[in-house]
Amino acid sequence: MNVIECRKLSKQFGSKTALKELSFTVNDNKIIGFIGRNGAGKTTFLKTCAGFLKPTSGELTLWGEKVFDNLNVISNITFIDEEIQYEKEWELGKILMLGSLYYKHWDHVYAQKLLKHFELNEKLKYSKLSRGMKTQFNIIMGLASRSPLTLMDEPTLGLDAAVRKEFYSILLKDYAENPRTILISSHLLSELENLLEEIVLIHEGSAVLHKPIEEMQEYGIYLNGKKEILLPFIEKKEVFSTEVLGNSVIAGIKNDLSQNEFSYLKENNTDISKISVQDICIYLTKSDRGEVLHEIG
Amino acid sequence: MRLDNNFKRALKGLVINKLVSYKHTFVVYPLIVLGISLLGMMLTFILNRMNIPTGSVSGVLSFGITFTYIIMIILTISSSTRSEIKKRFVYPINRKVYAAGNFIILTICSFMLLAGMLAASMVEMLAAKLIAVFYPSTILVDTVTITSLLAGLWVTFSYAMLLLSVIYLINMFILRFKIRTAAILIVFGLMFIIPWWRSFTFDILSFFIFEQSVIILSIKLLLTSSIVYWIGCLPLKEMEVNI
Repeated sequence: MNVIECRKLSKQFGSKTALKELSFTVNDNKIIGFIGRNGAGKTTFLKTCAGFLKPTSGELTLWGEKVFDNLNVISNITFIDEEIQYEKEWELGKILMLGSLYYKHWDHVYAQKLLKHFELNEKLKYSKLSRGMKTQFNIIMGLASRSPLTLMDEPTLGLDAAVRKEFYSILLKDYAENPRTILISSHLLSELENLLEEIVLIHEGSAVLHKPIEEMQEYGIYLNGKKEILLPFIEKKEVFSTEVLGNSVIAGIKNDLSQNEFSYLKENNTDISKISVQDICIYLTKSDRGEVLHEIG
Repeated sequence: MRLDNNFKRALKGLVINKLVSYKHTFVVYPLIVLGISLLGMMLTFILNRMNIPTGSVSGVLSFGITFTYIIMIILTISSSTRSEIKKRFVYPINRKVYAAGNFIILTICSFMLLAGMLAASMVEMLAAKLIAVFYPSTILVDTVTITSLLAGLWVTFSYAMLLLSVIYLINMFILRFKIRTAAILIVFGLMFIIPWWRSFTFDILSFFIFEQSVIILSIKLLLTSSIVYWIGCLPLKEMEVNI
């Protein structure tokens, strides 16, 4: 079943276009990575999905219904990001109690367990939490709500590597026990890679690609070999990057080689290795900033 | 109108959320009003002990009403700020729930504060009567009956609802259409120099003020409050929540 259906969705803030004819579909019970550079439109999309923002044009439906101001849809969504502010002067325990009032799938026992796990005292006031602790608490709210659609915008901001790792394993365990659709936007793709089932890559408000993670892992390859062999070879390929080092070339290309081409490269002593998903995303959303950097240098 | 479970859940969550947020008001307010009542009682008692003939002090009613109005105006203004709206929409509610929940809160809070004041004024009245037993020279002022006190409470509550709805409406329009609302308010203000506008405004006020029947007056006030509040919610309809 389709959870998110996005057709030519556009969002304009004055003269600035945040989303430009964004189209893609997300099925239920999946963990999706929503990836893009700063200002690509990730947060705008997630906020539109949560019903905070109204699309300028196009259509966004969740479970077949429009989102904006639709309580039937909103009741099934949890959105968390670092800007979310719960009642500052409330104790954490009380905010959790509030969760049980608002969310129909709320798991209070699980929320208490997570609070204990992250060593957050339920008597502590929200305003007294550090940035990292706030992020941990927001994660607790996001997971314990058990909403059929959970939207997490940069959920690990402010967390150290160890807590991030803990969060990933908690998320995975909870997802295995309570499958639902979780959309995560993050810059830390390398850390998230093992968690995600699909990736939606957006750039300047439009979807660049939407693929299962396995396909993304096979999407690109680096060729490292002699210049006279590789430069003519990559001429007709989709090239992501080339770096010439003396007589050698390292070229990143799309992995659509035939068996014959693989054999040809091997015969000519070319090393072939996979491009990481993170690098693929960087190449596919490359802007012309390289030239500016060159000028600054 | 049949309310579905999502609406009921969201509304219940919002109302409890806001009531708990305002709990300090409900603790501080009775303490202050009771304090005034006790202070008045002590003053009457001390003056009588000093053989100074005195009237029973009845500060609770006049002070309590002013105090309730001030508190409720502050709560109304604070409930129509951008940060407040952002805070509430963290949870799964829609604009209809927000508008309805806010109205319920204003009603409950106004009523509770005024009822608290009524209770304190009864304590004050009883205390004055008690002092008058021991010191017959005490002059009892404001000896209102329970019926008149209840009628007064109801009318004050109805007026409070109208005042708060008007404040909510102005605030919401300022929040959404700042300059346009300010311009309209200035134009309305300046129009007071035109005689027919002045008399039109006074006619509207007379429609309420000169009503003799408590029931009809409260119906007029509460009905107008509901309409004014509903208009005040119009800017919410298409408003985005920039969390």
